[in-house]
Amino acid sequence: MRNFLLAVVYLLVVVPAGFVARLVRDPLDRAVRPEQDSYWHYTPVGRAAVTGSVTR
Amino acid sequence: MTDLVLGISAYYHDSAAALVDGGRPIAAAQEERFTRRRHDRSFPARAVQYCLRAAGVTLDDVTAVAYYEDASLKFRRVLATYLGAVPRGRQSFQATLPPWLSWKLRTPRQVERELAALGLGTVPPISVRKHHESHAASAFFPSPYESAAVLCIDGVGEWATTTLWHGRGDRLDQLAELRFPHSLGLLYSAFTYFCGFKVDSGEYKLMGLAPYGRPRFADRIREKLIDLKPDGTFKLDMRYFEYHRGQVMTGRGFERLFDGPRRSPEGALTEREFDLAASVQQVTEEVMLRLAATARELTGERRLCLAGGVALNCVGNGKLAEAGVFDEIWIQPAAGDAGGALGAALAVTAERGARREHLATGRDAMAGSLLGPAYSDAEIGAYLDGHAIPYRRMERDELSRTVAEKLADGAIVGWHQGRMEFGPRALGARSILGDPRNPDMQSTMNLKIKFRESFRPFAPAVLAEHAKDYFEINQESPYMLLVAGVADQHRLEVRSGGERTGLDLLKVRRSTIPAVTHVDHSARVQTVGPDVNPAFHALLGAFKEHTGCPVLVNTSFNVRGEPIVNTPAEAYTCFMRTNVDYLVIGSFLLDKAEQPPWTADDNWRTEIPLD
Ligand SMILES: [Fe+2]
Repeated sequence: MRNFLLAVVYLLVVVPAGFVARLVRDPLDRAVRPEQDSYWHYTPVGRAAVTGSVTR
Repeated sequence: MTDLVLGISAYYHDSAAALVDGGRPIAAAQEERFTRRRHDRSFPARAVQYCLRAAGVTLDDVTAVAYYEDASLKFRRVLATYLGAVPRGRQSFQATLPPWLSWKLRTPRQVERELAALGLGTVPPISVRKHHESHAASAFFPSPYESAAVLCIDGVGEWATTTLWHGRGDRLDQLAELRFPHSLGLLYSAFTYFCGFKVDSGEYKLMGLAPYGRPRFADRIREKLIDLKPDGTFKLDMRYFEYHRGQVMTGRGFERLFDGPRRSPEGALTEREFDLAASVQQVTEEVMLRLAATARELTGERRLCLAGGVALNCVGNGKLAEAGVFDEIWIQPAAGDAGGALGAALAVTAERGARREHLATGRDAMAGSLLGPAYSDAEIGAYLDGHAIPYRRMERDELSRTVAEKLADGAIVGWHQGRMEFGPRALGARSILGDPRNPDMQSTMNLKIKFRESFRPFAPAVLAEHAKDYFEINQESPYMLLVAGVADQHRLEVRSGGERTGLDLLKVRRSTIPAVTHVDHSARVQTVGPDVNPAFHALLGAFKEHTGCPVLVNTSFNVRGEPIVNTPAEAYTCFMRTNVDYLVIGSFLLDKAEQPPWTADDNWRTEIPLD
C-alpha cells in the first residue's frame, strides 16, 4: 500500500515537478560548459564555515 | 579539563565518536571495533561510552555534542536528485524517502535520544556541522602546520564533493567547492562497483589492483566520463552513471563503454579489471595533482592538508608528494567519514576560540592516532591467568630482542600494544608483523593469516631515521598514507623471463624487502618515530640491531572481513584461529606451540562476512 502511494506521488508530483525544474535549471547541473575555464563554486568571502578566534 | 566537546559521525558508514579537550583530541574510536561489525553504521554508543570512560567524565562534563553533517541540507540534495533524475528513479524514491521522513531528517533529535538512552548524564546542546567542514577541520586543526591549504575530496556529504580551504592559525576558511553529482570519490566507487568490489570499502582493493594493469581505458574515461578543466575541477557525464537515480553505481552505458558487464563479486579477476583499476587510478591522480596545484595557487601556501575518503588513496598522495607541488603534506589518519566525528568536535572548539597549542611542539595533535582503548598489564595478566593461557612476561628490552629474533627466524607475530588506532590503518598498536626480507612472506600472510586475495600488498613500518635509506621519501609518513618507491640501492635487477602480466608479476623478487615491495617497486610506507609508540619503535630498533634491516611488514591485526581487534581476548582469538606464531600483548609473550588446542569455534570463517 505504501509503495503504491509512493508510486502515485512519484508519478503525479515528482515527475512533473522534475521536468519543470529542469526546464528552469537542472538541479544536478549536468551540462558541460566548454566556455568556462573552471567548475568551482566559489564561497563568498565572510561565509567561512569555521571561523575560530579572529584575534591573532 | 577545559572545554570538552564530543564529536559523532553515524548512520552512513563507519560510525565513530571522538572527544576533544579544548582543541586537543583525547579519545576517538570507530564503533565497529566494539560491536565487531565491519564498518558499523549504527549509532556509536559503545564508542561514546569508551570516549567518556577514557577521560573519566560523563555527559554532564561535556559542553557540546558536534554532529558531522547537516541532515536537512542533505535531504534537500536528495530531493533535488529525485527531481533531476526523473522519469527514472522511482524505485530509489520509494526506498529512500520513507526513512528520510520517519527519522533521518531529524537526525540531531535521534542523536540526542540515543545519547540520553546511555544514561550517562544530561545531553548537552548539539551543534550540527557540515560534512566537508568536519573533514576540513580534521585535516587542518590537528596538523603540525601554522598555515596550510586544505583539500577535502570524498564521495558526497550534503552537496559538496570537493572543497578547498585556507587554514591560518586558528582560522579555517572555505574558498571553493564542487557539488554532487560531480564527485571524484563516486567516480572511483563506480569503478570499484564495476570491478565487483564493495562500494565504500573495496576502493582500497581497486587501488591495490592498479599496478598489475595497463591504463588502456584512461583516455576513454577522459573522453567520455569526465570533463576535466586545467584547474582540476570537473563534471561527470551522468548518462554513464546510475548512482543519482538508483541503488547501483553503474548501468548499461558503462558496460558498453568498458567491454561488457561488471565482474560478479567473487568472480575471477581478469586483465580488464586490472586495466580498469590502473586507468581510474591514473585519472584520479591527474585530478588530485591539478586540484593541488590550484590549491597552491589560490592560497599561496607551501603545505597541504588532506582529508575525505579520497585522501585514503595513498598511491595518489604519494604522487602528490613526489610531484613537489607542496613542500609537505599532512593527511588526517582517519580521512574517511569516521574522522568526521573528530573534525566536527574540532570545528566547535575552534569556533569557541581554542588555540592550537600543539604547534609549539612541531608535531601534529593526533598522538600517532593512538586514541583508542588501552589495556594495562594488570588487566592483560588477569585475562591470561583467568583463562589458563601460558605466557612469558618480559621487560621491554628483553621483549623487543626476543620478538626481533623470532621475526628474523621467519615467525609471524601478533602485536597488541597500548592504545588502539583511530582510522582504518593499523600502525603498530594492533598489528601483525613479519620479516620483509622473506620472499614468501607476502603470500604466506595473505593466504594463511588473512585468508584473502594474494595480490594484496603489505605495508612496511620503518624507523623514521632510516626511512630515506630504504624509500624515496622526503617527509614523514606516520599514518601509512603515502606511497613511495623503494630506494635504488635496495632494488634488485629483475631477470626478464618473458613478458609477465597480471598476478604472475607477484612471483618476481624486486628488492631486498620483497614482502613490502609492490609490482611497481612502490611501498605504503609508515615512518615510526620514538615518541608516539615507544614499544613499536623499540621493536624496530631491536630488529635493525639483529638483522641490519630497520623495516618490518605491518598489517592489521584481523582476518579478512573482520574489524581490527580491540581487546586482548579478541587478539588471542585471532591468534589462535590463524597461523600467527607468537602473540605479544603488552609485556606478555605467547608462543603458539605452548597453547592448549583451540576448540572454541570451527566454523568461524562462515560467520565473518566476506569484505
Ligand atoms: Fe566524507
